Amino acid sequence: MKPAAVGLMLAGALAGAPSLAAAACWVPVPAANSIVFNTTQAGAPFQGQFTQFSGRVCLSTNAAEPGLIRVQVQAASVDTGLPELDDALRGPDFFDVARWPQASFVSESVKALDTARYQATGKLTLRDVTRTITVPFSFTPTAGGGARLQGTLDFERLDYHIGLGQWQDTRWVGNEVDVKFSVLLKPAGSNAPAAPAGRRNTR
Amino acid sequence: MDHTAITLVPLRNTRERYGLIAQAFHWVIVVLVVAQFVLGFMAHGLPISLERLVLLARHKSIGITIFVLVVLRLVWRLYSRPPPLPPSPHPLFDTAARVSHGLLYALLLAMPPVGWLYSSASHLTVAWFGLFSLPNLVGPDKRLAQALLLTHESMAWLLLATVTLHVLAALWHHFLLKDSVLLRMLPFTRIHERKRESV
Repeated sequence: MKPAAVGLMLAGALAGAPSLAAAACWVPVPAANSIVFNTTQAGAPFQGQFTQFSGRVCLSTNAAEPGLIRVQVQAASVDTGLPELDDALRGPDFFDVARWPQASFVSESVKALDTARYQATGKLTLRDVTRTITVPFSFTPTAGGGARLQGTLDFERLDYHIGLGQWQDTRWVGNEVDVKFSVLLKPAGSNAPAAPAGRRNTR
Repeated sequence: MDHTAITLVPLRNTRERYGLIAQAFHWVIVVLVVAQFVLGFMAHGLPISLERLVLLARHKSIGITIFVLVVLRLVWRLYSRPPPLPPSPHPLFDTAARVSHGLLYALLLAMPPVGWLYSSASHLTVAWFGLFSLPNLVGPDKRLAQALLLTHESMAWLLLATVTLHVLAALWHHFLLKDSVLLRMLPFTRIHERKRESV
């Protein structure tokens, strides 16, 4: 599909006009600082990111064909800047990547709030816990048919069993986590090597 | 009993002794530095754990406190000059006293920022008792962190050596030279008779 065609579809979607196709789909272009998490340690801010992830974003203006957002994050790609911290986070007390290598979000509904803002409700799975959450996000077209997806997802880590045993002490390791995402998207099915968007059926 | 000799020490330094303010700075910093050595040694070599996190969080909070107290103490020292050094057996002893006091101040001022840099390089932002946090001075950098830790630890050993010398010198003054050098840093002590002896 040519970028121009996607751009046309996107313009249609954003204008709220009946579009040529009901949904247009994009896949992420992995880049640094796309998925950054923030919490606290000993009362001070603590930040890290996940560098490997894949997914698929389909947006539609047609209520009959709802949008879809799926994201898989490789838990082992956690990067706090310090290797021993990353090793601890990969370990059994935190992400336990040996047992749960992926974190995921799968939308159940995607609702347009206005021309650039949406809200996805769906299932967030971290470790062995799946919970329904709602994530507002913005979708901003970029030159060349791509787009940038931005938003913040808040949760409490203990709800997802992140930080077991001694680490459940929220005085020293904050319970509130916010994940800021700012992901560059490219049209799905473009001739670049496909991002592993087709992982929908792997689990 | 000479009651005038054991009345409260004045706030400001006098020709004979340190005042209460300077004494409070000295002894509070002593207690905090001892706590720092205990916390630092306990955390040393621990793997990443909540215990290490808690020990080092307290170590950082106390380190910031010491730094601020030392700055205030030096300001006070400019405002209220310390009593002069007593007559010494040899001018070299005066030099040794000045150098070791200077080294104590220098280490107490330098160690907290080096620790702060080490924390920054380790991607662990420093907070003061969880109430506010300090900006990171450098980004995460494992090699830099190791170099800074080595520097911090070397300074700790130098501080321990200098403090040992300082304590031994105070005891030497008190028990062998029998002057008022130790007593003038203590509240509620009688200094007059002692001073007469030593003069």
